Amino acid sequence: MRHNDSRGGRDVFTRALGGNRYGVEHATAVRIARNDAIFRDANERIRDRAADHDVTESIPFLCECAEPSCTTIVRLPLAEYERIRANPTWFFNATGHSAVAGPWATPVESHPGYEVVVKRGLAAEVVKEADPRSRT
Amino acid sequence: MDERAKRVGLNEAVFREVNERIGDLAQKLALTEYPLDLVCECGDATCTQQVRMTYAEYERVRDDPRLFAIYPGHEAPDVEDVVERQDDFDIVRKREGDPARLAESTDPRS
Repeated sequence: MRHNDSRGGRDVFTRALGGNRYGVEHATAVRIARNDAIFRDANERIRDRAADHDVTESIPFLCECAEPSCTTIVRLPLAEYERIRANPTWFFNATGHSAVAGPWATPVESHPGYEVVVKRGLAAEVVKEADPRSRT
Repeated sequence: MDERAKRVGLNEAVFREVNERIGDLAQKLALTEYPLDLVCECGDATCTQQVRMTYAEYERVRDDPRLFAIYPGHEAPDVEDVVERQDDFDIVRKREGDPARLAESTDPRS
């Protein structure tokens, strides 16, 4: 699966891996960031659908942890989702799921049922570049 | 259409969108051989039940925009009928008229 860069050229993940900028030893960070970005894109679509249908409280979002098979639901009000999404390096994980990302994410907030994590290093760079809200 | 029926239909549409994203992720990440843990598509916005089904079962439900997969017993009898009962989930079909029209108009595949 490729995440297309709306600005053209190779996708952000391929460029991060193949540009000799970071080296293949960071493949794990890129893979994690890739998964995070895929889940974020899915949640952006859920957000749009909920807003279309006037659902603003307790919206069922997908946990944005680094485990690709995770389908844990994290319920957030729209305002809280928007607060998190305003920072392209922030993601929300179901409580206890942040450890999967290893050193590439650090919990910065803890709430009932979920944690907010900030991406670190190369993972932060990749998710920032892939952020659909930052694209023009 | 009365407000309650409309609210039920719109809530179900949001849950369906969540499940569409889960199904889409399973496809993108090559996980379609594994069971999907989906959200119950009932009309209660506060429902937190999940339903487990195969990808093929999910696609069968999604083929008809009037069908929804719900946790057993979560049907709303005033707007839908249970058309199939499985061990882990029921399938409901929206009644003709406003409920069916709303389900069709909010279907992301249509």
